[in-house]
Amino acid sequence: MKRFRPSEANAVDATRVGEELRDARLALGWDIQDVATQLRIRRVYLVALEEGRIGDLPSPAYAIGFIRNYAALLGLDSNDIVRRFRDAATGVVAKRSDLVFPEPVPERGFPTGVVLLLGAVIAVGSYVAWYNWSGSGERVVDAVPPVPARLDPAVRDGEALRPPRVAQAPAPAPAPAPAPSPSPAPANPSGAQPGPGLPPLPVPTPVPVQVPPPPPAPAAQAPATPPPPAANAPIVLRFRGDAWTEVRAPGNRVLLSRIMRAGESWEVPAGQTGLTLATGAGQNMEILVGGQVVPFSTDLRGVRRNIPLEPRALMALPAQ
Amino acid sequence: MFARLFGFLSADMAIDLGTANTLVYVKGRGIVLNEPSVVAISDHRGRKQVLAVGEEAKQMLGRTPGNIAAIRPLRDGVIADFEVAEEMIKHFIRKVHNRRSFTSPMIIVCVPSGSTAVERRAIQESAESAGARKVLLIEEPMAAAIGAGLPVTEPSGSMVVDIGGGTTEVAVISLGGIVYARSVRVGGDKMDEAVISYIRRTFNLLVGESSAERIKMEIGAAAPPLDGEDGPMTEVKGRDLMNGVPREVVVTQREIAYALNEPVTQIVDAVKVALENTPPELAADIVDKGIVLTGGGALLYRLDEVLRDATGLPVVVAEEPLSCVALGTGRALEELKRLRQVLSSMY
Repeated sequence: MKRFRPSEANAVDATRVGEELRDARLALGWDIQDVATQLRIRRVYLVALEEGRIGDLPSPAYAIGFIRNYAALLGLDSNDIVRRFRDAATGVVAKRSDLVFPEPVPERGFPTGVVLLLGAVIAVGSYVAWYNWSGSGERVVDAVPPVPARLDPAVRDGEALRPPRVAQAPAPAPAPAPAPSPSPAPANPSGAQPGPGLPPLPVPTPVPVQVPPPPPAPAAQAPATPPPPAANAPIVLRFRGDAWTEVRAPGNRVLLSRIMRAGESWEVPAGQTGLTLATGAGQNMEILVGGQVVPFSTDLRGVRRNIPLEPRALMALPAQ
Repeated sequence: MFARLFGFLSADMAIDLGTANTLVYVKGRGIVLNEPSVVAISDHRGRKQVLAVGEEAKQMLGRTPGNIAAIRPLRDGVIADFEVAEEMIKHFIRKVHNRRSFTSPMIIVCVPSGSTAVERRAIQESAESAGARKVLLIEEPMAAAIGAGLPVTEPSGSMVVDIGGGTTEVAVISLGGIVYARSVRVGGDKMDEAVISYIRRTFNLLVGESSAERIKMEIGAAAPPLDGEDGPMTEVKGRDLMNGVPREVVVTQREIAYALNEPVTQIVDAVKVALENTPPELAADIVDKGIVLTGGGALLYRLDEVLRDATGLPVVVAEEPLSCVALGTGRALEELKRLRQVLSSMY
């Protein structure tokens, strides 16, 4: 078989070969359908061959086989015809014989390398951030914030109330339980600062008798027992923290029933009598009668009910 | 990286290890060897030595004295004599491998689609023992289809019939894979045997394999001549079975066509069975385009006509049918990355 010679590629074209085949067929007096029946090749392919339409043929391998069979049937030199056809169809043959195997569609998303790199960067960043914020040397205990300014009155009130209590109960109490923030200075022998607004008291605690009255404040403010408030003194509920609070009038009429927030205060309406108070967090609340903190309310704890909101009754209640 | 380096340093090759002929394709150089798969072994005082391989050994076939044996190590497409096959591959590798190469070559060998795992392993191991760095296998019908230039990767069915020396492979290929394959152990050898058998029966004359093959190639036909004549004729020499003396008779194409009727019918039946098992969509494609014949058997005169009449489909013979498998295997070697999925390995 003759080999393909590129120099001849453009010398002939497929149409010439097709015309030659058609002329040979017509010379024999055959219809194209006769050829199709004999060779079992579809009529459309034979017509495409005769008209030189290479693109309409199934594949170069088949097309060349068809031409060979057709030429042999017509009694032509099939090798020569095939060689000329192949020369004409060189470009098409080369282009269509590429084998491209079907491949699975690559999964979308970042490439694995990028994902790994991002993961590593995030991990290192998280560690650095954690190290910086947690390893700064400031211990949690030290990080207790100072007493806020709005609690200063309470602190002072606590101081004002503490000496009489100490005087009334002169039992040696070298180290009472840690009090809430307005704990009076004498109760803290270790010298820890109770608050920024209070100077440390140079009071030695071992002998309670020697406890001098607090220098200026108690002397200036009040005697050991405050005067009983007037019957119509205004009653104010002041809240240090969140506390559910309910105030009922006689006949179970609800005047207040909600969670009071820290810093809020509620004044008992004037002229109302027979009111009772219930709270869910007594430690977050204090009751002021005529501007004075009721001793009973200073150490309230937890849920308390049926506290009468009467000035005298409140003052008469024993301290907790 | 090492594979690329080794590939650069060695002459990788593709081998069509056929029952009748072995073709070797060397990367970048094309088919460089086409020789009969025959090895002549001499037995010298109990020590076996390779005397000749290929064409030279084929000349000795049937003409050897007692201490020499001309052996065809492949039968029915698979290795029948492991050691001799190994020697033959070794010889061919030595013959075509570049002496300047430092490393041993990678080899792609084709195997019949109907071969068992044991037979494939035997082929792979013999190639490895012969000095291959790495051995990959490709199924013969796929190699034949690639070598014939069929659009094997398109979503369209292609039927290829590869008639080799030992086997006939019928396969339907689509999307780069074999959809259906059927391998029957009928091929050129069986045709030769049929010719020998016919001449012995008809003329009481015993002829050798080489003579039978020559007759088949000269005047063999799949169907008798149409015009009622006997067609071309040739003389054949052999030994008379009646009186034992050498004799010469003349056989005609009509007689040989008659003799070849049985193997040809088996091939036609295999094609029909394959068509029966083809999925309908692919069958529609095959009706459109037809069947492609490859292998030496495709050159049998009027075989395409017989198949065309039997199936009602267009039948075309591939260009260079004898080397289609080697060309396809060679293309797999050249485009190893792209055609990787048609290659396999037993390990």
